[in-house]
Amino acid sequence: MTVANPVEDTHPSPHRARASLVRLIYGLVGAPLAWAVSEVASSTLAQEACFPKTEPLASPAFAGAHLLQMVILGVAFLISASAAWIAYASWRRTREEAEGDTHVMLAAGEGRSRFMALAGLLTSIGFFIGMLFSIPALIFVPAC
Amino acid sequence: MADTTTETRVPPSGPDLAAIWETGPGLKGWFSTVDHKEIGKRYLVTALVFLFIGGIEALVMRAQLAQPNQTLLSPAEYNQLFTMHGVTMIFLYALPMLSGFSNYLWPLLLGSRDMAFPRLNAFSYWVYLASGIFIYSTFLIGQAPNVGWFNYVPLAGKEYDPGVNIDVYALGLIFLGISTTVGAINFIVSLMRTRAPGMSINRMPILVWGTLTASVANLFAVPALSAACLLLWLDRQFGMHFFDPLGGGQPLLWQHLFWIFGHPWVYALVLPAMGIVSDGLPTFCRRPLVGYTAVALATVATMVVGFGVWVHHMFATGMPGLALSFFGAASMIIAIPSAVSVFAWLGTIWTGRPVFKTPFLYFSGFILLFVIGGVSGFMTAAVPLDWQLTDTYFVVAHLHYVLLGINVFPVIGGLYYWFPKITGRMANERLGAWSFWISFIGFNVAFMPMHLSGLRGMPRRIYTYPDHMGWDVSNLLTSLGSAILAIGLLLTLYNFWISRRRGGLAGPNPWDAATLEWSVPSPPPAYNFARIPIVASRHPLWEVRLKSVKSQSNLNSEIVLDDGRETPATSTLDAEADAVLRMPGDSLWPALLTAALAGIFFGLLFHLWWLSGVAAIFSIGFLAAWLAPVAPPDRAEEPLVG
Repeated sequence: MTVANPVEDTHPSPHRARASLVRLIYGLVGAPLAWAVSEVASSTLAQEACFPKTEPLASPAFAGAHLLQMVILGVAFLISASAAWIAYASWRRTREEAEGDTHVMLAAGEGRSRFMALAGLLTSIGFFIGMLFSIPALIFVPAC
Repeated sequence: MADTTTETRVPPSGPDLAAIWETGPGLKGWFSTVDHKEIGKRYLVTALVFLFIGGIEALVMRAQLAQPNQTLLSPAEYNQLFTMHGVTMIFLYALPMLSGFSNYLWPLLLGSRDMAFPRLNAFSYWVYLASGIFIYSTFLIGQAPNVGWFNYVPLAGKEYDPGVNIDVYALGLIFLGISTTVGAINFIVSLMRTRAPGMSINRMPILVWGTLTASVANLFAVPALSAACLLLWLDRQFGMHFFDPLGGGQPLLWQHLFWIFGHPWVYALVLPAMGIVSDGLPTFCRRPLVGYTAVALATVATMVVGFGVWVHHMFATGMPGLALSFFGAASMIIAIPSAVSVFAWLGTIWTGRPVFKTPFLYFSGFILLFVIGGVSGFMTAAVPLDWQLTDTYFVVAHLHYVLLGINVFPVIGGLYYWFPKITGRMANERLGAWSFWISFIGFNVAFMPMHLSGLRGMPRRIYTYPDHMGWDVSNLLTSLGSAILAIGLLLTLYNFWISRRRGGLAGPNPWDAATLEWSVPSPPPAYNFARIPIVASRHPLWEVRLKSVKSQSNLNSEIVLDDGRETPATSTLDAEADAVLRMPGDSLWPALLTAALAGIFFGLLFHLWWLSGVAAIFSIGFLAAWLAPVAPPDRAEEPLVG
């Protein structure tokens, strides 16, 4: 015996075809991953440059450490910006998945695809801002 | 369920669901049950017992420190007490208590009949219990762990600590790590596969987000601790040199491994507790949580950032300033997602119509403690200030505001909130309010002056102190406050004890709450839901009154699933039903396997290699019996969705 499945009348993500899962996931995890890799790589570089063995050094053991840290941070910024852009594009495509504007979305979370898209956008912007906190350290704090 | 033509099976009337799901009677039933509610209650009770033990240890220490030059405890006794207090509260109370909530509540919140791996769930509890007993096994012979809950080398090395004190710590935490890991896997798979049809990821309660985040984090964090403990045990037993600089090892490796585990673990201890507040508070404000999307996101973001701040426990180890700056910045950034949650809770209270029941008091009290603990954490994120405060009582005050304030207060609020669901009876409101105010006042009298002790230079972990140091009054206040706090907590236990028999009948939904667990009787039947609910919003029980919710959940669907132990399987993102899961029944194998594992660890601890060998053989045998394939039922398979 079978009956119609009532959940189909209210699918959680009616616009799921408009934003690919790969793009939604990139929007969500791109910036956090970029931040995490940048954080670990930069701090490891700082430690290896100034404390390579058992004795601390007065100046970095290799001259390019500082430049390399800035490059790493720059790449992380680029990845975060691209993740934010892709998340924003997904949000544009799915924002009308459920009733209500951005504020309603933030409050209620209805519409699974737009939920992931908006979460990705906020995540990317948040980690982009978070990485800004590392810039003063690179400029003002002595390497060793 | 890709289109509207999909159909749902309506099973013929079958055997009684209760007969299918209920645990058998007697001792065998007690040891073999895999009912998530029973396992959840055991977690809760066991964790409360450890809270009680850890609390007594704290009170004895506070009696010692109430005045200068006390001699109640010897230095060696004090070392063991403060170590066991930390180990007990951090490892044996805080996370297991939250596991208890999640074990009891998850299937009820998610609309399913059980966790994805019921036997693994039972195994997780038995290993937790056995590892707790193991860690305490040397306490009574005066050889408990004794160098602090983070167990720094070289003090924890064989040279300075030749007894079994550190061995029981290292092996015990490896043992406990098995429980944490399998529990985390169970939570993750349960979330991915056993939600009710229609409960997409954007319709999950925040408690589920919190426990999911903590579980994923534990899978990455716990191996670091287990590895560190194994290396330390090898150093101590076989003269290896992982942490010995004379042998080419690195003492700081221990600190890195410990805190790569330790800091995410702290967030694992608070995020599910914050989830309890995020789900419970709206019930008493008569409105949905403000900023659900932001809070869910903040929960995950807190943990992501939490993996990048471990070095802030090591600011005083001599690392280069630039490296410290990166971690200092990350430690400040983490305030952002935390603040999102705080403003969401305040917004919920501000725009709601608060009902001042006991759970609400605990939840709102928690918000204040969270802010105080968060601000002192933000302060220690600044490297120069941290150098001044490292290893002082300021840090002890901070961690107690964080761990007691953000874990214990939400947990007790949560116990009051779900007590009617668990027992079928209401807790006494008057006693509840008294317990809150006494606990809240006692907590702040105890731990606020601790900041002052630290700022005045009192080092942590000293067994006594001379007078005229300026620490007398603040220490006396701390000791008095801790006694008041203990009275408040005991009042809560007394309340639960009498209310479980004499409290008024609760009914299914005494708080008029919104989520699925309140749609079933109190206490819930063994099978949870007679009919699997079909969810169409985040507030299935408030849909009629909420104008913003246009769709209607179906709590009386035609999905019965009574052809044995069955629950629907659904897709990860949109919870589209795609199969019926055949769930395993009660089994003695998890308990037996745990007993065998305990044999291995006791053998390793006391160098009874033969015992470890025999127990290992039994473990393999029990595991093989557990995993042996079972013949499927001899009947036609019918998909849930055709």
